[in-house]
Amino acid sequence: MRPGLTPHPLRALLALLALTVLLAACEAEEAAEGEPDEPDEEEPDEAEPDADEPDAEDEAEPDEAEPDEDDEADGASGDHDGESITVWIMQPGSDDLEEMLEGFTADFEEETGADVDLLFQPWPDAHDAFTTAIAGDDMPDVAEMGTTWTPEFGELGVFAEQEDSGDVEYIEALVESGTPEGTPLGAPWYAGARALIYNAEVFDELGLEPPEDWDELVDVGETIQAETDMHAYGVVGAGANHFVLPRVWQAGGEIGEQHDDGTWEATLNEQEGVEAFDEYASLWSEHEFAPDGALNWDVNDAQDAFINEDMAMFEGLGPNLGVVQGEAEDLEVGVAPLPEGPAGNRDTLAGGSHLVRFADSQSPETAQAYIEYLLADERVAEFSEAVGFFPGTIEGIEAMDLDEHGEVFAEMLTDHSRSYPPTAEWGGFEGEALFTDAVQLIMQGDVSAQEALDDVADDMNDAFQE
Amino acid sequence: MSQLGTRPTGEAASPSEPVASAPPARRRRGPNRRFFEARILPALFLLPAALFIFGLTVWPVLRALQLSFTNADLSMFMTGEFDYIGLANYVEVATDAHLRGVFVTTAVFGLLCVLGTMVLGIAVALLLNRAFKGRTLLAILVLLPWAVPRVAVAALWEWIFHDQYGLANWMLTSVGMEFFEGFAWFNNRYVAFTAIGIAIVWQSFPFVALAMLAGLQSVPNEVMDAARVDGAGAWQRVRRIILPMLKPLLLVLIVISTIWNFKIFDQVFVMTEGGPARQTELLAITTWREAFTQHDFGLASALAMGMFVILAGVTLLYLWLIREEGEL
Repeated sequence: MRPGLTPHPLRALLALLALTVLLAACEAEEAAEGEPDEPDEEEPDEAEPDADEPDAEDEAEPDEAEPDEDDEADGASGDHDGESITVWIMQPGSDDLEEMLEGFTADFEEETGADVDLLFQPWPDAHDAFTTAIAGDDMPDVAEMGTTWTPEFGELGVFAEQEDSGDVEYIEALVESGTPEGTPLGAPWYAGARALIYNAEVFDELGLEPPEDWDELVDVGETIQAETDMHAYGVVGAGANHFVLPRVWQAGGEIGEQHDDGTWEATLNEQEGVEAFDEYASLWSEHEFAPDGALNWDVNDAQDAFINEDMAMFEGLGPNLGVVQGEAEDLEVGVAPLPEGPAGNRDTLAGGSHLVRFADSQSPETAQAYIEYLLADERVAEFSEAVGFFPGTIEGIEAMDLDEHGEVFAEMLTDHSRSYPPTAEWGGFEGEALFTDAVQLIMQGDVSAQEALDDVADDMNDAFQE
Repeated sequence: MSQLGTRPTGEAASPSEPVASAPPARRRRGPNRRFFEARILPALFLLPAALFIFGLTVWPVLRALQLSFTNADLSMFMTGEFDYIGLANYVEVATDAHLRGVFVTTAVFGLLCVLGTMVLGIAVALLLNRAFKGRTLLAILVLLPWAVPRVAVAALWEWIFHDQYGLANWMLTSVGMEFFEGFAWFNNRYVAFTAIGIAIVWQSFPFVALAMLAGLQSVPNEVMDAARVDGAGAWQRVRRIILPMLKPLLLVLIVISTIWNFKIFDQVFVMTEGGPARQTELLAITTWREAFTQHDFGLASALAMGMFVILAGVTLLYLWLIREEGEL
């Protein structure tokens, strides 16, 4: 030892290490409780899967175990004594919502005598968690499923078939995605569609009206950029999926088409799709409606910029509006339908969730009873409203007491929502970042929209034909 | 590892040495018993640990090797059915431009991170090796990044490099670099890798610094004093005395950080998730993507085997260097 070298740093190091271990232990415990140690993703983009595909002609009836008005699970009390089930629900984004679901679960346990192990899965990790659970044959009994994942995992045969209730009018898009190949696997739980969220104060000051179509969006945006130091519009690259794909519909195109023999073919590289991707990218590259960094932004970044009054418009869901109003109480916010595309429609994605029962559940009756319990009208209404989404049924939406903002979101969902092709391959396309890669490449200016989309279509068709 | 525990039991007992005649009261130990105590018993004690290690390391590697020759997907885990497709997955890795590129990117980026980690770690170790006021506090501060979970660090740096609200752009513009007003760190792969590299080096240099500090303190003062008397400058003392004396330690650190930096996942996953347009994908991210989003476990296993072979190569090189040194 050289003089002056005391062992203090080492002691401190040991103390630090001990602390670290302790912290890690706490974290592990939190994780076990479903507390993410990552920054809160308010509205996971994936949380919004889609649902219906207009071309799919196999209008299977919605399955769904909708209970009748009496919200009793199909059991008199004590019906499920001694049965235990594991339930995975996506983290709904706030403690209040988790408590609400825990409350429903506790009531169910009390009424039925069953033992329910309720776990909250963070959206960003949920796909990996399901994959691992299926691979390890350690699946829950009941789970919430993003609508794009229902066909993907459903293809493996891990979900039990849901019953067909027939006489209830569901959001069509949700039913389509829950019924891959005509087999009802996912019971629609809640749904939502995007609308244009804008800074009403700025619009009033500049005497602007919310844009009605693509051209007006550009005009309004140019005015905002000229008259204020704000960015006009939340055009994002990394999280572009649900902003750019619906534009293909708005331009009059289709993402894919199903042939009579049931096979799918990608069509988004046709003229309308190219126009849609080009238009979207130009909002960033040509009109500079969002900062340079938006190339790698997702909707949360756009939302932050909106909250900080650095951005005047972005496309969002009910939960996005909830976050904005929660964090910026003084901000005057307006909500308008999405601008129409050249084809004269404002179609957008119907996002939402299904509830599924796993086929290898040891307590299928209890699992099904739990699903029906959550799907009872008043519980769906209470939960979806608190989340900022809507019940999966037209009737449920009509029964809601909506404010003006809610009306717009409801109209987007009931009148203008569609779903991506409900194929088993779709989840993989999003996982592979197929569409966002194309957007980012076009934004970077390295390839033309036609080239990028031809590559995307080739990849999609390869997958469809496998 | 595989020699552990499973010694051929048919081995002849070592020729029994003449046993000192024991007092008749005590039981004589037979040659069998001595063989048991010398050979079998230790093996038995080691067996549980060996099986445990085998189950946790060797078996998964063998399983991945097996899967890499198959077209296994998620349904394979449920039905147990898959087809052997020969070298098709390896052919795809070798012929697919993106996959091939990921190997090159991973190697180049990984080695640059090793270089950064080592240079910064050694520099900090040399600094902490001097006596000055507040050194203890500094030593603790240096260690802190290493103690924070990687995902948390990645989230922190993602925020630091945020183009609009990040600390980095704010600081750079505050000191007059207007260029960094709203500068997008993640739009271009090279700039993005710079940001990711800073995050990685920041977190991994403390380990190197600490290990080197321990090594430096083992260099005898007499040698250093003699060098000073002979007129060696600071740089000469580092180059001609410290580094040669600590060569074995350096080798270990280089190998460890190489292994770490080839497996980088968290930082990239959190900061860019491989974007923009998969331009910052590293091998671990690509492997995850193929397995968990594409359910292509065959191809993912082939990628994982690629990584395994590279890292096994690095480790063998290290063992060979150590032998050359006559160390161990």
